[in-house]
Amino acid sequence: MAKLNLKDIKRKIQGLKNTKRITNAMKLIAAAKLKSAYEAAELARPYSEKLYETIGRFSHHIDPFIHPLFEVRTEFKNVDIILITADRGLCGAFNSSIIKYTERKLEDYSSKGLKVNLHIIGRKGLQYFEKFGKHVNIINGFDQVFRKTIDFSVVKKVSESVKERFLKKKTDRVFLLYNQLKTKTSYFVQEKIFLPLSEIIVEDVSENGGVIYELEVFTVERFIENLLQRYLNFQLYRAMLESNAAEQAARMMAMENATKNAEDAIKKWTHLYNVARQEAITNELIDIVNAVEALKQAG
Amino acid sequence: MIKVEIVTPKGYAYSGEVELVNIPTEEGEIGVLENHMHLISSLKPGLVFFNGNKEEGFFVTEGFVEVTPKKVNILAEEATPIGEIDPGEVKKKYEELVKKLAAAKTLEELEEIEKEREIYEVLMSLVLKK
Repeated sequence: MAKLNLKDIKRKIQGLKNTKRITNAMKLIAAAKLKSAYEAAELARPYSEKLYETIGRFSHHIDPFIHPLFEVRTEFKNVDIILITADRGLCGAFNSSIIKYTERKLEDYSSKGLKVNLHIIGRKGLQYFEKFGKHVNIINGFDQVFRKTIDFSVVKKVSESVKERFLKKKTDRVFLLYNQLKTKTSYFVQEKIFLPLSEIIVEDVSENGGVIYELEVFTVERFIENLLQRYLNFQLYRAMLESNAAEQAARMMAMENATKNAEDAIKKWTHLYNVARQEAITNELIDIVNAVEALKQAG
Repeated sequence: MIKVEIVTPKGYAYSGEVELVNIPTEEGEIGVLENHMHLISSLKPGLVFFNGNKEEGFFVTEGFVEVTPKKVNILAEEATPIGEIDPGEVKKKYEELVKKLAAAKTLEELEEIEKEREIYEVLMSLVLKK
């Protein structure tokens, strides 16, 4: 083995220790953020469920053959995808796996001759598709969305934009792609149909089904619009909450692995350091012993 | 007794059984007792309160209310216990909004601020009376 310089090894170990300290700190930060992001996603659940139930119970007031948001188009040429990624990296395969998934979908659709339009929420996805996106049209792109709180104006803009596009037949189907937390240590790419609504809402006949509501609202139509828009907004908002929680979990895992790797490397280099040190001592001893032997023989 | 649940995107704000609940809707305030008929309506910014006691109400912003004979579901964007609202803060925010309104450049911006200003106007009339 080539002789290793003790000083260099020492410097290397110090560097690794610094890395470990940083990754460990990032892990702890991600863990704290995960807790609050997870809670936010949990707390949003009852609202979302009630909204869904209300629309379910109310949906027989909405004629699916008349209301355009329910229209299922059998022939479609345009597809919109709402993609949610993170703003920041250092979270393992969080961004890359969903981007790959989207790429596969894009290829699949374009091979069928469909035009795909993207609405991207989150910097990482936006950067990627702005740079490498072939045969893809980015309609909306939002950066710096996942701050301390999630920017609700982004939710409104995206959901209103896809709704408009759907109503104007600029798109025939809208998908929602995001990372969903499975357990606190694993996540997967979730795909949902955002529009048309008919594929989401199933009329709830079991409880209160078929009940005719007294409508205090003068303009039922406006009420329905309002209800559906709110539902769409919230569907997207919740996906963003879920994605945010998954991002923190992914970062925590990635940083934990990085900390472990740094630890292993420190162990390895410390061992090398000890070997090199021992070697140096042995060499010195040999020198001394040799000198003594030489003196003896001379004497 | 009728069950009342107030739910916001941030979780349950209230869940319990009451004799009477008053709810501000787009068509005016409604009072709901047990065995009320099925009803669905839009919420208006205002005070939801129980058993005629305005002191323990919740200030709600936009949303929906769904009434069934046994249960009232209130889905609100925001719901804050009225006791937790600081009148000074509300006044300050309201004045800020009025200033912002004067400085608004686009129609969109104007509409958005006006909407918020209206909410704060209602809120102010509620908290400053005390």
